[in-house]
Amino acid sequence: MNKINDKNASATEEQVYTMPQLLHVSPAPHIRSLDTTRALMLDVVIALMPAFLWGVFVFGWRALVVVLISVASSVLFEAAFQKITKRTLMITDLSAVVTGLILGLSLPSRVSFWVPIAGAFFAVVVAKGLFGGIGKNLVNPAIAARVFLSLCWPEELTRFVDPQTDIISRATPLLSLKDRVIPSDSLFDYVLGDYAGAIGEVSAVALAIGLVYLLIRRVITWHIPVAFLGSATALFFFFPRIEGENGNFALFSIFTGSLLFCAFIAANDYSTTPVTGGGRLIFGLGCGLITVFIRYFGAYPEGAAYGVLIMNLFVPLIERLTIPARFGIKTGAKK
Amino acid sequence: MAYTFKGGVWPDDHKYTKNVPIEEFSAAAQVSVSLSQHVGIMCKPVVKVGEKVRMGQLIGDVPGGLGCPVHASVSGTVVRIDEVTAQRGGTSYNIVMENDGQNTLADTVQPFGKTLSEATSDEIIAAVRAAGITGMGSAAFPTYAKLAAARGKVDTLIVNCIESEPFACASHRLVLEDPAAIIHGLKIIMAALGIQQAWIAVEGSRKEERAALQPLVGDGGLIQIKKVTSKYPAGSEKQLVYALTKKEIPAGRTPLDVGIVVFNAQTCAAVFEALAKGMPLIRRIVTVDGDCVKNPKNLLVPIGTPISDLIAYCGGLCAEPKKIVCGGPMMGQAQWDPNTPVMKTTAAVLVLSEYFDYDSKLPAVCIRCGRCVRACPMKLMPLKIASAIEAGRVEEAAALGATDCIECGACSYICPGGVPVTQLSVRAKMAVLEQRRNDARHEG
Repeated sequence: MNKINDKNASATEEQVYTMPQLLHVSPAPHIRSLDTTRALMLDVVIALMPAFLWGVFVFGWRALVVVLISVASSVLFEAAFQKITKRTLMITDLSAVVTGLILGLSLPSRVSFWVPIAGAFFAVVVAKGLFGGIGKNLVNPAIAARVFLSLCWPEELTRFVDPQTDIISRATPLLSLKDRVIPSDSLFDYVLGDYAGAIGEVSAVALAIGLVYLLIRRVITWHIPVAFLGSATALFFFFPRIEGENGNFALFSIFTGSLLFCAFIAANDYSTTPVTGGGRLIFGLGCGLITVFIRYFGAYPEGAAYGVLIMNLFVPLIERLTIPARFGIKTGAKK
Repeated sequence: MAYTFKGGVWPDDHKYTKNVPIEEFSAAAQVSVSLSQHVGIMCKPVVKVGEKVRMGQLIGDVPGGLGCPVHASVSGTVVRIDEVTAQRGGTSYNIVMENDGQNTLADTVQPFGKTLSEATSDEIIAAVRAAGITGMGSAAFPTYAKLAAARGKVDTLIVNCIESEPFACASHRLVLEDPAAIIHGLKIIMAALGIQQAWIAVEGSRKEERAALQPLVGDGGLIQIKKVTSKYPAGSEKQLVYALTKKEIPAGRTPLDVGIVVFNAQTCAAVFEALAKGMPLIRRIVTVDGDCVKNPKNLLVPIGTPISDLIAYCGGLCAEPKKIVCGGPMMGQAQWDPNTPVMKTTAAVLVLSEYFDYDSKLPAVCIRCGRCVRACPMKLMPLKIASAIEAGRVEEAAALGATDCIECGACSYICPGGVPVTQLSVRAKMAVLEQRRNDARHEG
């Protein structure tokens, strides 16, 4: 009957479906959450948009070009690496876009255009691909690349432009804090993001919008941002480098440099952070402590990226120490 | 405040038949009643091919040990006994009967004939066994055996009205349309166990269910209605007991260890049917739904009805089917045969199109987001168990508690990387159990 119907059915008539001879058999569950890797990565891209747009607004077309080069070369290197190593092409999961975006936003707008390309190569090929790709890498690719670049070409990585004067400024607020001097500009400029710094790192407001978006969309949990920023703030406030200026020193320390960028967004990379809430608290705490130690006692004015990198290496250990108590272990029935 | 537990997921509930009243459908030309619909030993047929059978007549029984008899769900003639591959592997048998459409009742279908105060616990349990009642949630444990084990050990009965599987509405419709059967069944079970206290667990979001049950139980009595958070898997026994008592039941143990016994609402209603009318468990409510079914319905059908008949009765297909699932989409099993019969535990038949088929076209990769850890209601680390078993490290999987897995599917559901975490965990569980069996053999 159905076959006859099928033959006579015109395009306007309702189609008749018959039970197929072969049914698909697969293990349960038969429904899936719509939050795929791609959807999560897209959310991170969206969360970074305020910081990106603000960076282009204050630093001009060069900022746009630097970020675009970084993103494009990340995606190209990822594709090339997967092609050469004969793996499935996975650039549609957008993880390379996120890596490129984070890397680009952490650079100054006046870097030479080959710098983001070198950084993308290190991030995508060395830090990620060679370790097995997404989910397998030990260190945060974008942050590792940024540290790699600043070690190799420190000159390039400090070409911060003061947007108010449009000249390359050697005296960044971080350096002045290092010299135990509170910067002369108003704190408001630092919160809004109108000072010499990296493209995506200057605006606390834009980064906070991104963080709120990620939290609302449940892409990340609150643990790392709170522990990271909380531990750093506590140290800045209780042990300021300028005596008697606890509040002022802490505020200027928080709103300058890459602390907020790392704590709110970059450090939350899934592959390189613990999987449990408790583990993430320890991770964030460690990041905050190392950041402050390097700022206070290290040779560099900024330590957030190093904090994240070092804590990345502790993740396996942290995970081992924070295995949740299984159901029935703690308050179980009497044996 | 609703009672709750840690972990779990919130899938779209897809309860499209929530407001569709139960309809009877018993016109299948043939029914095939499986001889292994329960935990325990498979039944032996007690009828022969060619024999006339009546509705409710015993057709298969277990001579001794754990098992549960099966009955003819229609009247007619036994035409053959099919050998089939059981869902979990192994061989099983179906008694195939031609339906004469008369529904002539067997002589054995007689009311219990005693009031609850006269009846002894043994008599009630014997009647429950004779009626072939198994747990109707998903475990299919013989109810008489659970009653016998619980007697003297428990002080509280929990009636589980929670249907956290998406699509499934069988229990929901029963609570709305025949709450009295559930309450009567509950009282029979309380009498059989000699206990005074019972809790009826209802999902917090199901106001109408509470409204239906409340007048029957009254206020402040020893039978209380308890609200449980609507999330998956709130209907799972261990999670439910934890939500209501804050006691965690370890792997390999049952609620009896904390003085509680849990029965599904539909099981309670079946107990009532068995004692009030003498009707064995030969029919159940099945939600027929899925995006390929034209008119989704809740049907009261004879056990053994081929699911293809149910689909046809619901108007047939309206899209190209990819999978047919017996049970809910989280734990149900995909069928290879559209003529698979309805079993005592088949709460739903879902015909799903490609739309529900997860295929990202990318290989499944764990991105270590930790969502499975947060979702696992047994507080395991599914990603670690999965990677351990993929690398063949059975001991590591055992140390991570792979055998605690309740196979709820929450980890696979939530995984953004499309990793079949549940399947890998089940594989780990099997491997650990296998190794333990081998070790025991070597030692013995």
